[in-house]
Amino acid sequence: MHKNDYGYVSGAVLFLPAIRKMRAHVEYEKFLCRVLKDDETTRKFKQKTEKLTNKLYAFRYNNEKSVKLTAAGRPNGPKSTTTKS
Amino acid sequence: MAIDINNLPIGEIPPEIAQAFGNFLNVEGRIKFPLKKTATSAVSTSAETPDSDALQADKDVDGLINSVDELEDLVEQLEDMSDQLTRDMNIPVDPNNKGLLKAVQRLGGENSITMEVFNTASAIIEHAAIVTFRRDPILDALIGDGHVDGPWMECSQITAAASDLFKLRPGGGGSVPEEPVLPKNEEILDDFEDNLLEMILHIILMLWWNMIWPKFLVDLAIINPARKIVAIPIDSLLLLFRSIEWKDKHYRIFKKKPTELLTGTPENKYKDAKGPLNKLLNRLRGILLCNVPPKLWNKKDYDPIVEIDCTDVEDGCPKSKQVEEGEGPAGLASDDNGIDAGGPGIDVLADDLCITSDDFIEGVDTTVPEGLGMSPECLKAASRVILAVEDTSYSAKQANANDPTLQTNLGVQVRENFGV
Repeated sequence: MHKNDYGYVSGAVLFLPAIRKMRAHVEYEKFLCRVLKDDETTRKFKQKTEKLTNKLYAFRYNNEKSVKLTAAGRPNGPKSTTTKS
Repeated sequence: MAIDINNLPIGEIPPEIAQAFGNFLNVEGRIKFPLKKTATSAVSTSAETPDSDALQADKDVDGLINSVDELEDLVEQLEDMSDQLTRDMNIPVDPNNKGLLKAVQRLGGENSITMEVFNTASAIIEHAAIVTFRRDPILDALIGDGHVDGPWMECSQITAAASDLFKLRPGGGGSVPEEPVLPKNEEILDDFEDNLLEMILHIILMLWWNMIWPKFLVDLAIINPARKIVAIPIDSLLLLFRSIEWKDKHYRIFKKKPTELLTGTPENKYKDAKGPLNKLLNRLRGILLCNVPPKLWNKKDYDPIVEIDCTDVEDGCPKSKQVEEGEGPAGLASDDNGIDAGGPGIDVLADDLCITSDDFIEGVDTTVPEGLGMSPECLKAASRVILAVEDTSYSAKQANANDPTLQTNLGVQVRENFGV
């Protein structure tokens, strides 16, 4: 990849906001999945969120209340898919 | 189809990636299924629902999870690629551009914009709402309570890891609500009002922090129509300060009764008829009304709530009529509480309309608050750095636009590396 005189690829910087939007969307989707089902993949979702450099997502989705919410499942949700391991 | 990165507009996703993203995230089709009768009734009222529907719901959930898993892989690869292409960023800052230089230093840099500085600026923008309003709307939507506590942070502390310092405010609903989102409309609205007011106070604080308004006003006031746009909000601001219901949490910002900011202390109300905020606002008015050629100013367009005599101006500061001894201040300072309905007779000003930032700070508590928050200067510095980087990126793009050897093809790399 060709970098400019300042050591970076200009277009990559301009593309960053879009990537950040994608990450925000993915994290929300992962949380939805965790509410719906507790399995190996959704537990991996939680671990990956925890390891992200941007700790905002861990704060939002892995805090005590959010985790309780995923564990308890939604009152009107598909409980058969939210059983705790 | 290849993507020419030089043609990417800010904030827009290239079509190929958007399509791939869209295939993974067919949100409408996937989000609906948990709400379908088949999905919920499969659990709660199984007698009414065939087993095949329950099985289908499970399959749908598994399909969703797999899609999201693949989607995260894609995003991770994009993030890695982006890191590789930007990590060596080093944009030197012109030493004469003191504003940008100060912004960079405020964000922990020295004399150039590195990726660390840029990331800090991005983090400040991302966290600004939470740090300012102490509330996260996404948390609100998820758990019905988004109150956030944390420390006061310096600009350079607000990195992507800043959320490690956040805490959900204890006592703000200790248990998970039975419903995902509780109807707390009134409470949320009250908090919103409080936060809005607090934000306004911070904006006022910023006035004396950097005193940017006077210059801003002078610049704007060159254009006649702009004067009205600027003048009316100043009056509105004054009226706002008179009308709001002040609470203890607001006092901690000024450590001075807001009415005193407007009218001066009660014991000195005849000698010092106006408080520092009033003086500041009146000075802004003075600049607005007196420093611009009168011919350009149609007074019919703007009827100020305080009259200023522009015939006696010294160093840009208009002098006002003296309050006669023994006569109570009229208009804005007409009672002990400083609350007045306005109206006729508002023509008396303090003897000195000129106020410096030091005057304004006097008596105001400038100690750093203990609770979650940051200086508004952080936001300003972050915005400045991000704009500088974007501007540089666009300029570099323009310079290289006709050089085929410098064409960077993000689409090709995405396709080759990630099979999109």
